[in-house]
Amino acid sequence: MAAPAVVAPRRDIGRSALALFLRYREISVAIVAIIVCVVFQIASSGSFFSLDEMAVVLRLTGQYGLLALAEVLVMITGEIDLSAAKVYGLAPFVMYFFYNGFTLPLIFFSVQIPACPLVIALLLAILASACIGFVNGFVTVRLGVPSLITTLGTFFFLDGFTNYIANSEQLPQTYPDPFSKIFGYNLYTPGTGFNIAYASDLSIFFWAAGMALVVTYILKKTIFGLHTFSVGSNLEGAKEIGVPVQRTKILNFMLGSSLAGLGGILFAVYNTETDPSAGDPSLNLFAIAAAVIGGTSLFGGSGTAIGAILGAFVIASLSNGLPLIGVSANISNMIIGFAILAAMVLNIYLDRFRARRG
Amino acid sequence: MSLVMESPATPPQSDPQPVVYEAQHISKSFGAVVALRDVSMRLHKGEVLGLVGDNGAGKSTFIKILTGFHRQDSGDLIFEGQHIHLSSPADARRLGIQTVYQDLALIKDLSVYHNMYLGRELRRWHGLDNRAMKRETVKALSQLGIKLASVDSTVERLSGGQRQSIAVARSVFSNPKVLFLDEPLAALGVREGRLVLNLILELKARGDVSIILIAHNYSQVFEVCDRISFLSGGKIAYEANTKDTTVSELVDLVSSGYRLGTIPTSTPTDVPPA
Repeated sequence: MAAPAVVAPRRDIGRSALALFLRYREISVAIVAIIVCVVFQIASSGSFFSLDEMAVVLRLTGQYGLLALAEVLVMITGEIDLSAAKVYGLAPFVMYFFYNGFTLPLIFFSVQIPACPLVIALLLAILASACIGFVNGFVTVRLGVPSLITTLGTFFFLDGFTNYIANSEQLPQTYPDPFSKIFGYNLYTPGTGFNIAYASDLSIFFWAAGMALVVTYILKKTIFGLHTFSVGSNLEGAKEIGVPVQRTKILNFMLGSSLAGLGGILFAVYNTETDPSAGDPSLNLFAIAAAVIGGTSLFGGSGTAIGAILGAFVIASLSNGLPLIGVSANISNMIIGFAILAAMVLNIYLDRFRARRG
Repeated sequence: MSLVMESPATPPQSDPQPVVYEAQHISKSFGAVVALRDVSMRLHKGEVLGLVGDNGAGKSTFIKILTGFHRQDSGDLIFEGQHIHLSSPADARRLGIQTVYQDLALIKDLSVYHNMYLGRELRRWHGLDNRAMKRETVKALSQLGIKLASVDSTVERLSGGQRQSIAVARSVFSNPKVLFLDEPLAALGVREGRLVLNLILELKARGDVSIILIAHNYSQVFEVCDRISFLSGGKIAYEANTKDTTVSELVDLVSSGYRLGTIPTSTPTDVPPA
């Protein structure tokens, strides 16, 4: 009788660890992130976790992360957004032009738009991002074009549009206090050690982390979040039950685009210039990869915001850590590609494992 | 505009239970194809009626008319003594006519309790009241005798019988007066089917809801149904109280009728032709 009493607690620990692992998809990507960190820390003989290196990694995590959150929202509904990076590129221009005022050419005459207060300019930029999301969602849902194609179209349109209004030039702009401090202006001088200004160097990461919590709340605690999962998991079933499936999808496109726009603005404020090439296509692909590594299904119905940030961290670590330990750029791209494939295969197997163990 | 058009004087029945839902002389054609000819049916309160018949017999057309998907070409629907016109499934639902479809419409990635409450979520502040939904789901399922390891698990991880039971439990959640079960046993093995049959028996024992069970397997139909209607070629070919007949009698009749084309013609009464 004594033996089971001794064995039982240990088995319980094992089982509850397994249950935890099955329940929270983020745990597997968190383990991968830790392994990546340890490997780089050892291989770089300690310089991976230096302040300056971490600043670069976490900033990139923030950039990828905000776009990955946009992808998570859209991908849970069973769609995809290829134009997010271009929204990221356009939004700071919208803010720049409204902040400085501009001439809006109409067909027969032109209208002078006066300079707006900065907060208004920011809100207009986010609103413009949301509108692009609306167009993506509307064309996809109401006109029945697959989102891959819809957003490919907006991708090229926005690429052209951004370069057109920017005249393909970078526009330097330093925004005033306290706006700049809130939205990512860097006060830190590299190499000065850890101080309060260091945090400002990472503000895009903190924004991404904060937005991940907001998105987590939306997905887990609101009716809209529940509808989002139901639409991606079983569209016909959700419709039958009375879930407003079209509205749910369109709203997710809009939310996702707004997050992408916010990311672009943070990046522009950090760099004190607005760059028409900021929304690089690879950014969008890394964001999708980060979402998938973080456990978001390409077929809809599942995904987590925290997982997406962890996935963004893994990709940011790889793309910075590999050069740090002396791997050449081409080889490191090959390794990242391999890592993405491995993560996706792992995810598929974990899903099957979860389905069997339930 | 009200769904209720007029109140005809339906003659009181000699049966102990009042008629809840009645179809009178329903006919329906799709182009040149006649799907239903003069089909009548009566459903009493708390009754379980089995609707059997081969594919193409008109079963699903009949059900779709009764649940508001199609409009009949002629004939009347009478719900609780009043003529009704159903222009959509939502109309039927509003009156208390619920359907559990073959394809279930469960969301496999959502938990059991979220599935139970999808479309009528309980809220607290602006968010979901997950705790209350969980508590109520546990209560509702245990009242129906449905056993699950956890209402937290996603529907994907449940067995076929458990899924079907959840789908049925969800539709009785809104206290319907009439419940249509569209082939709930079709894809299930014996043990899994048992879960659903027990659930139907439990609902029958409560007597709150009248059930129309569409099925292929006669012996299962016999176990849970009070009455059986056999549809063939768009007509009710045979109707009997299960206690007055046997499975083999029905099977014989159906198969011989098929061969000879001599199935006794329908009478829109509760008593089968002798």
